[in-house]
Amino acid sequence: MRKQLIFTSLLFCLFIGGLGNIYAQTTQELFEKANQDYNNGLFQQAVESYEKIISSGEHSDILYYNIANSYYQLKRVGPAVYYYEKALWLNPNFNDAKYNLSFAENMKIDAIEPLPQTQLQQLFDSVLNLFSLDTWAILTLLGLWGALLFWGLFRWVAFSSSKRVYFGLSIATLLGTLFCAYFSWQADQRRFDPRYAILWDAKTQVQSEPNLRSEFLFEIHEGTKVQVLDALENWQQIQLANGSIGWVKNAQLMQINPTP
Amino acid sequence: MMRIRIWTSGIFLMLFLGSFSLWGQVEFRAQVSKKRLGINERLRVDFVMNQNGDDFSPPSFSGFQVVGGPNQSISNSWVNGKRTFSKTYTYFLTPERKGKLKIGQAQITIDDEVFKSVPIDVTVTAAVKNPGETDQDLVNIEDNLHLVAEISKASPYLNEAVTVVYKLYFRSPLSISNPREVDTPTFSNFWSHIIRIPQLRVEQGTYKGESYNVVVWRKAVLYPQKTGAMDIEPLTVRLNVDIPTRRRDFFGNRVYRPVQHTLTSGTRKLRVKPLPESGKPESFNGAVGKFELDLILSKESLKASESFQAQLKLSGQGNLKLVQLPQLVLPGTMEVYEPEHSEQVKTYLSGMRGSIQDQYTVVPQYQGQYPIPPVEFSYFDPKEEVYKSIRTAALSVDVYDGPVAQTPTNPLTGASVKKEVPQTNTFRFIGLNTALQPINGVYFWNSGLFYGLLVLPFLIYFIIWMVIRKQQAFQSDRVAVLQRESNRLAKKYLSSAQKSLNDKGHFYEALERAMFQYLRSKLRIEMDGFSKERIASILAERKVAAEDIKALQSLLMRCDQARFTPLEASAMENDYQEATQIIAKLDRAL
Repeated sequence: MRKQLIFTSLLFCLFIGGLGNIYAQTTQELFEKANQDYNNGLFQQAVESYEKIISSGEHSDILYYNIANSYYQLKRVGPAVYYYEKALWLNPNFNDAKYNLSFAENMKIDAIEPLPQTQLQQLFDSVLNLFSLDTWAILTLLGLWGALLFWGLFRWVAFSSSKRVYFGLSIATLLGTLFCAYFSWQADQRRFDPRYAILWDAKTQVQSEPNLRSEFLFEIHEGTKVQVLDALENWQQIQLANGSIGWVKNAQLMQINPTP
Repeated sequence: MMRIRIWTSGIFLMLFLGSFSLWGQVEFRAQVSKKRLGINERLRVDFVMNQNGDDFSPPSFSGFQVVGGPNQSISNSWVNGKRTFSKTYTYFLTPERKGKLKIGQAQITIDDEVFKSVPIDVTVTAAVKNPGETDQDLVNIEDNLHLVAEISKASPYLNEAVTVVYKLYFRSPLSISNPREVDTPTFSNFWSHIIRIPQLRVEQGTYKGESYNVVVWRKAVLYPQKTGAMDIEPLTVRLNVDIPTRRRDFFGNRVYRPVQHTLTSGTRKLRVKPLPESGKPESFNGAVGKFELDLILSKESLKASESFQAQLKLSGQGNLKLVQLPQLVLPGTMEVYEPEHSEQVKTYLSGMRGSIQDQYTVVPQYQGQYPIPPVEFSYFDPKEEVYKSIRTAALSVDVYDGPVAQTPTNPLTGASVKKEVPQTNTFRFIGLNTALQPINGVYFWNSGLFYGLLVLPFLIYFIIWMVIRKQQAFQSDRVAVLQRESNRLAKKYLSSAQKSLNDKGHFYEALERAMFQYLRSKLRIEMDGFSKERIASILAERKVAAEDIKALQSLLMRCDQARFTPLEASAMENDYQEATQIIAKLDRAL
């Protein structure tokens, strides 16, 4: 009798464990299954599987890129652009995503010409996008370690010629560290600060003020990338890439970066 | 025989009477055409006299209006030399009121005598039918000739088609000819279209249950452009009518009287209903009827920079000419030219029917999939009284073989803003491998580990610094120990020399021996061939300072010399001290 009880409970444990095991396997398996679906032209199913992975709390740049490709094949501009931007948010140097995004942007109704960036801004952005936030953090640490090492050597070494070299190296690495620290901080800020979003509605009217009495400015269509500046009740203030600012009501704006 | 008698007696009588009147009597009397008349009839009054007179003054004719006269007529006739004279004043009167009226006395002066006529009583009754001509015409016009405007709908919706048909009804025995329009309605507040009738044709029809001949005079289709009560202005037609009279001509045929008659259709009222507000779609722009919308693309896949046609076609029945087609919205990277508008609309009695279309010429610039969003169009169906929305199917155009995307150049630098110059011109495939990571992953930046590693080198640096300081302190201790050691050694070796400080010969011998002993033990070399030069070279090899070597050499030299030369006790003391120092120095150097 007792033996039986132990046996059944063991079986139960195995069953639960097995269930957990199935669940644990799913994300990677789901990903592969979705890839197959995509390749077989079952884009809607692929999207569903990919989105299941996201709802289970995992993501990656490739995952977002694959979802975007699926939406592109389903000819849904808004979600396609949104997921490409999401992939690029995770990995700003994702060339495939940039490339396919230009295809998705061709499907948009609006052709918004972005404001030109100054050379300084371009330089700053290209430097910032050189590494991810964590790489910048590691570089900061390495720099700090290096600077201290060279300082130590400077203090240690007796010969004045090598002493001078170590002093110079130490100061240089310290400056490098500060540079990396600044860019790490900037990269950290960028995660939240310009709140970008993609419009999923087919079209939305932009007013000059957050009320319907105000002047109607223009209309934007699905897939437009906007910067969310402010919000009031169910109105949101947005800025387009060409610099124009306005308010939209109840718009389905999908935010790319998370709110802090 | 009998007849002749009557004839002759008649003539006699006439002659007698005539001579009688001629001879004696002046006659002046009033005559009326009828004693009883309707208020809508005319009365003729004659004042007749048989002698010429002056100063005729008519009565006041109170209760009547003089519509004609006075007409004067004189007749002179001579019969068998006898003159018959009559002078008549004629008046035409219409009564002004009903009841008994009196025509008063008229006066005339004949041969300086005033004569007066006898007043006449006339009874005026209510209006009688067919005044005037009843006696002549067989039928009257109004009963047999009608112009009617037939309206298909008395209360249409705004922009709903209404047809107006003007029909001319007539029946025998009237005959009409040469009809012409006098007043044409303008149909203001309506969009109107007049349907041409090539030839007027007489058909059979019924009007108010009686059979008539019908001529459809005019057909018009109207689309009301305003709501509320509206008038349709009357149509007026003038035509020649031949009315049969009671009279017959010489051959017994009826005599027809030609009359010009003006007919009017009368004003018709329309109540135009506004379109219901509830359920009015956003895309509604005034179309009423029943429509279908089609979007036809000439190509579904093409090369970039080739062109294709998109045809937006609205067909059906309704106010097509008044409808504006919805705009086709295309992706911004496609070049779209102004649409070419064409209409094939015919207006029938039931309204406009046909199609209108906009043809867009589109040139895609870059390759890719271009979805063409569905176009929505709304109309009001007046039959079902609901709004209906129709939309075209969602289509897409596949553009291949061309540049990928626009590369707007940065006006400041002139450089391309676009990030990538793609190598292959196709949409790229998905990624197949990925390292999934938790969405709410922890970043290394700002983490505890980061700060730990930030502080750690400082800690290490501090520890190393502390160790070095300890070691330095220990090192300086060791120098003192070595000093003491070498002193102890020197003392050990020099102790015999010290004992013989007072004995000059022994002292230098002992000192020299002590030095050699020390060097032998320190340098671990054999005593054989142990010369001063050899020692110097060995010491120089061991990097002992040159002055120390020199000092050692001079000390050993002095030891040699002291054996043969007398020396002061104080010099012995000095040499001892020097030997001690040299040993200490050598010990440190070695």
